[in-house]
Amino acid sequence: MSEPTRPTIPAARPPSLVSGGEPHHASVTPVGGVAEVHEQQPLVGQDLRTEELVFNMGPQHPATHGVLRVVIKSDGEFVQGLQPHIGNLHRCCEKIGESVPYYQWIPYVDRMDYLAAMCNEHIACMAVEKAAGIEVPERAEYCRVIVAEVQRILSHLFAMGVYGLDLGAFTPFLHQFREREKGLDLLDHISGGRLLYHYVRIGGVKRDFTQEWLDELEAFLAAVEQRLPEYNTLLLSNHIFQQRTAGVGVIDRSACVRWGVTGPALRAAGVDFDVRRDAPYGVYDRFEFAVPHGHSGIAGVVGDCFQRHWVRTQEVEQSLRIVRQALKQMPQGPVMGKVPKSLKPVAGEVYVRGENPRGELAVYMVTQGEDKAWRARCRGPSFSNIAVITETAKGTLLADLVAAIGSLDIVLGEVDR
Amino acid sequence: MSTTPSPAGTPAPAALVDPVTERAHALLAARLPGVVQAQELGGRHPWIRVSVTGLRDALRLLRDDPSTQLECCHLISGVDWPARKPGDKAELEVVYHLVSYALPYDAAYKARRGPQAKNDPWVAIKVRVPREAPEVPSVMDLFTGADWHERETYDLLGVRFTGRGFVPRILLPEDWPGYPLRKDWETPTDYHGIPIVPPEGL
Amino acid sequence: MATLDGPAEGLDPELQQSIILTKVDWVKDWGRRNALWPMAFGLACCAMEMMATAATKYDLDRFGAGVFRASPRQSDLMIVAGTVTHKMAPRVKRLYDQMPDPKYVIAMGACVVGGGPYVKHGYHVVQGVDLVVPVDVYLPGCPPRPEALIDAIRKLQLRILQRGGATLQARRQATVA
Repeated sequence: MSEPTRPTIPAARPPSLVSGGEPHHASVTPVGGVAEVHEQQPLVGQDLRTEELVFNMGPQHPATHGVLRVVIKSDGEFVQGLQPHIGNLHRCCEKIGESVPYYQWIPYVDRMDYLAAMCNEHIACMAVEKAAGIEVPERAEYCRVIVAEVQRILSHLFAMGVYGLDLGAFTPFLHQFREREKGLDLLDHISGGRLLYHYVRIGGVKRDFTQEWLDELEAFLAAVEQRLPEYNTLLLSNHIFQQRTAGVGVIDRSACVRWGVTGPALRAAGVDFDVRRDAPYGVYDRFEFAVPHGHSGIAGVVGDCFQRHWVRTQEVEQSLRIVRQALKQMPQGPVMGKVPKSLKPVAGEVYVRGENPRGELAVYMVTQGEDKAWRARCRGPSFSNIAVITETAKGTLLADLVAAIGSLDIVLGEVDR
Repeated sequence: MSTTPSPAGTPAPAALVDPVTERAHALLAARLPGVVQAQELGGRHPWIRVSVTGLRDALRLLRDDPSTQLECCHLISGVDWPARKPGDKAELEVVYHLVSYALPYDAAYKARRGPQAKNDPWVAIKVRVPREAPEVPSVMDLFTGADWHERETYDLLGVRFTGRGFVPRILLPEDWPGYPLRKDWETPTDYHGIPIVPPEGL
Repeated sequence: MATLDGPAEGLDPELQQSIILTKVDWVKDWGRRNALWPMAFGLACCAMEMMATAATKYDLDRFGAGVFRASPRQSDLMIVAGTVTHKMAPRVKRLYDQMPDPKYVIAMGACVVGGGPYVKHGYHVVQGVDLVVPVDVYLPGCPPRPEALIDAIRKLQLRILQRGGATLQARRQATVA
């Protein structure tokens, strides 16, 4: 920090216009009743007193995707250091897992990542089924995959639209909500809820698909496929978007792996890994789909905001593929397995991880032969994804920080649980 | 599947043994003798328990050795084990789940399906510390992401991580009383004037 | 009718009953209810439904309440959408205090109406945001549908029409004094 010194003041300026240490570019000096404007040399670089500013971004902020508070130390527009403060949405999900029976805990898991509720339920139900040794019928597994992939499409559409909103583009937000409403109606018709479903239950799913619902699903998939080039034109091909995101917020492979970053952010850093393909759960090993990951052939740098966004757009296409394959392969049969009325798994533990739209959601469950879990530990992918900006966002501009946070696509429900 | 630890040296039946955990166990047993206290190499959740003093060396070895390359600390969980029967020790357990993104995945792994099988190549390392003095060395310098997981384990269970300076709370406010995920934690009646206890009738 | 608004105090009682003053208040309230400016205060899942209400299918702008302001100083409606935790409660109070009068609060979602699903085992959840700020309209649901939020805003507009634009707090203080 430089010594606080007053800037040199030209003699012609009346003292009343000077207020200690403030830079002026022009002064108005009334001379004989007529004001004359004196142009002065800019004072930047000339004994100008600068200070680092420590301020809050959030917890109420339009671009923090929820109640995230980031304490930023900045020198003008450049971020010197930052520290995210979380916990403003801590809703005691893990304590509730120890307090209520398993089947009552599943709706609380929905609310962790509220934009990917079907996927959360899928993982949590898998954990309980593994702990209790419950077999899920094949048709139910296909139902789970279909709703999970539809949920992934909806979540990525939302992420893409809201990312545009963060950067100041309002149109993609409105466009993606058009398709999202169709998808939410679809999931509403099968489960009863638009955002939080409680459709995937322990042992299977709640309700079988009707032919009417399958027709609606086909219409939704066709609509998304038709509109996807439009979304890409609005954002990916937009040169303003490219300038705001290409080369910005780079999180390389080393930072990802050290901080535990997973999901599209990890894949954008060049790591070719997807839990659905490499450690498959449910019936994911029966589908053929590509795993998009960042490389130098597309715009931007590997691991930057642009490539994270690009990975999401590609994943929407792959999800469409998976749903179509699942619809072809789905067998007939029951959708709920044999679940004992009083579910008391033997003492033991399980660790289950799955690929959520935001990363790898994992559940570590310890059971002790009671109807409640002994420990229901959940790993929300956004927890690690947001921690990484402590290291990677230093030295960036404030606007780039907003772009970086938006591209990580965090949901505070699973950060704080 | 029970979690009684097999004494060190007794191999589990070959069909059930998890290859990744077995490799990690062999590495630890060969290069850090005396650190492994107990292990379960098969079943749906194989694990290796190490001593508190040997934890950092064990995790560093698992991270750096080319045969395991467990470079990502996926999750750190704390589990409360109060003494339920007389003669039991009251302990807190910290479980580290490590994964690797560097090694290619074994196709045979994908064939292991079913609720009793483990078909995901992670490794679980456990430590147990006494409940009255729960001190575990921090691994923040080995895995940077362990920072926040350790803060959460301290916040909710009171496990003190040494060697990293002041450990601030992360999810709960700084002046929150107690550690909520402990089994003997009592819900306070109010916090700064706002009542916590639900109204009558629920 | 004009007793709670500043300019009418201290005037001659006969003048207070005059048609001109009543009409001005009616116009002010008409403006207040048809141009509610909500603050973008989404906390959790209900925020997603609030965004859906502001989006194309359930357009909130046609009711006048589509201009979501980022700053509380420019808004007069706080839609508390999502769970309020004890860590967040002082910030909610501060944001409410930063809003200029007259201000209204809609408690959207079961969590802020009375604790919601976290009422029994949620130690960190405030059992209803009316323990922190005064609430005008309670909207249950988990999350409430966008149509329900539109209904809540319509009810608020009806309340402004029927009871005048003064805030709940001022009315409480007026009845106490």
